[in-house]
Amino acid sequence: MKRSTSLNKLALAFAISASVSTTAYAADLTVEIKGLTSGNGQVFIALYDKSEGWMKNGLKSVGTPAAKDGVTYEFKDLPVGEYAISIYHDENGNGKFDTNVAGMPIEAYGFSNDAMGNYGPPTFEQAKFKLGTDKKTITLNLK
Amino acid sequence: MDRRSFLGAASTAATLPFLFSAVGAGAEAVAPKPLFANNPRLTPFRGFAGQDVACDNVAVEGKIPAALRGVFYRNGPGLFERGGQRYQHWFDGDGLLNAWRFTDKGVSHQAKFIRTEKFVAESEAGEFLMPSFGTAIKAKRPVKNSDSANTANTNVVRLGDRLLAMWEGGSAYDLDPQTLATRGVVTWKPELKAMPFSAHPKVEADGTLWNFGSAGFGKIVLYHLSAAGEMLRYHLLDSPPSAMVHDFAVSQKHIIFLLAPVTMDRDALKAGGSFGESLRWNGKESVKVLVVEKADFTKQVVMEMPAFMVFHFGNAWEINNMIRVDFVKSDSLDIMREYMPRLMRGESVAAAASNACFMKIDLSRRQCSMETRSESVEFPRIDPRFVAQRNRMVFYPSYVGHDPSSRFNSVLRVDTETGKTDRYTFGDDVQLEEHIVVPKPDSLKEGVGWLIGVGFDQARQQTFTTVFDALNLSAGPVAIARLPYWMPLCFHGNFYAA
Repeated sequence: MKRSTSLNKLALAFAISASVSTTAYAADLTVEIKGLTSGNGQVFIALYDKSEGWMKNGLKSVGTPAAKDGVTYEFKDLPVGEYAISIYHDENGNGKFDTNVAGMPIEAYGFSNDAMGNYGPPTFEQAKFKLGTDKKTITLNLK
Repeated sequence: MDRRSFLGAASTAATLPFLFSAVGAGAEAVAPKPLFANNPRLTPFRGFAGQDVACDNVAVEGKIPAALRGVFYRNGPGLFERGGQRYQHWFDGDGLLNAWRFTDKGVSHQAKFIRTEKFVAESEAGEFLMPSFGTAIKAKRPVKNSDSANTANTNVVRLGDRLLAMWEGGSAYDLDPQTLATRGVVTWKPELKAMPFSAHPKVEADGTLWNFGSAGFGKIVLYHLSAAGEMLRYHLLDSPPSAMVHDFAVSQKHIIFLLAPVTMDRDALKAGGSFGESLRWNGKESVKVLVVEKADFTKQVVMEMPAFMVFHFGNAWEINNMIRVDFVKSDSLDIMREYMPRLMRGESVAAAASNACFMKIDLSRRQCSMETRSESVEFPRIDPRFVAQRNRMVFYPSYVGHDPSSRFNSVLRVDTETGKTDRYTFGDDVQLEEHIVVPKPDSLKEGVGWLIGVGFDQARQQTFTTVFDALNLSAGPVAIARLPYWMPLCFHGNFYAA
């Protein structure tokens, strides 16, 4: 169920981005992810373009196979603007960001700018970065 | 991608204690200075520089009883300074595990720093990298979860083939009971990874172990383990909120918490204050007496008492729906908030009073009452065979005399039925740690055995351990084993017979 829902969201996200990309200058964003402790499971990447919906409804969310040396993913044809990214390593491949019974993260996660929260996740403002009309590569570290 | 659960997890985590601020901008650690030059009494608060020590043949005065054979493990904060920074709070130091071994060859001592993730990383870096309980150290590495800052510095119990070194905010660390080498954090079940496993488990005579973890404001996780160390049951309990829950008590049928009116000032925390600095005492609020059934963790009763602070419990037992619970109470958080930071600065200060207290919890009428004794005490312990059973005696380090800045200089036994006491007082040159009861192997009678404990002799600048006849403290120690060096003070420990 979850998989089909997220696939639908993913399809929708791509549809939106496709329609947007025809109306503005666009660039490709390469996301390099380091700090994996194993090559098991997938790394999930959520891309946000505004603070509304931060950590809730991303512009795009994708899963890509994990590799111990690191993972690279490219978002193509993104409009010029501000973005922020959240990632986690679904190491056991259960499609979820696992937490312990008190809700504390037990799988590795990270944010753009390697932003760190203060008793919780960082804000969109802390994690945001600018994407212009040139290609850009950013690096995130899982923790 | 399950974004919803990611969000849920992240926002829940925001309520967890010990998921520390990563931006520390508040009171920074003070620079180390020759703080203790004029105060030899406080030498143990200087701490070690991370070195392990050992003494194969400890000098013994008197005679170690022939039947007293085994290992006396103790744990406490041992390192307070790195890279030009000094911790402000006694609770902050890295765990230093001590083993006093009593064998036919005599007494030996070994102390080894617990190689927590934090200790290893900070040793390599040569500086503090993680926030601590009472000092706003700026995080220099990502704080992934509670265990990133886990110092494993508070207590030690043996469970099966594991020696568990425990802290209040994160996982227990597993050590080798012989070598004291660190094996790593204990994850009882995947969903319990990095959950707090508090430092005051209660171990019944049959080896059954009960423990809890304070899992955020208004959440307590309860644990029930077998003597072999299997996690039989756990339950996340909705409890009255308290930001500091250090210890609890267990009776035959119940688990008892006294939840003090302590809250977390989230603004202070957000502004970069340490966890300890951001705790607030609300003396006009009540203590919540939370009683949970051992057989069914979902069944609980809550009663109220006027405000007081409690760190440590002795024991609980019940008869005819009336629970008796003993603990040490103080009036507020001052001991932790004011007294300990001043000790850490090398100041001679008088501690706020802490006294033995005896509470009756009437489950039928839902009423509580309590009586407080006048002696200055802490660290209550009982005969370990009587945990969660009817007991009569409680043992404490205690203070008597006229120098209010002196620390515990005597051992005290209180008979809870007659109110009579048995006490031995060292001079003011001595400060004592917790003392524990080691039963004689051939007796089942309460208190028949030895009271053993560690102290610091400021005149000699040495740490020692003493053995008393537990039923005749006033006769003085039957043996004293003196180290040729001093050790940082420990918090808690336990003895395991050979």
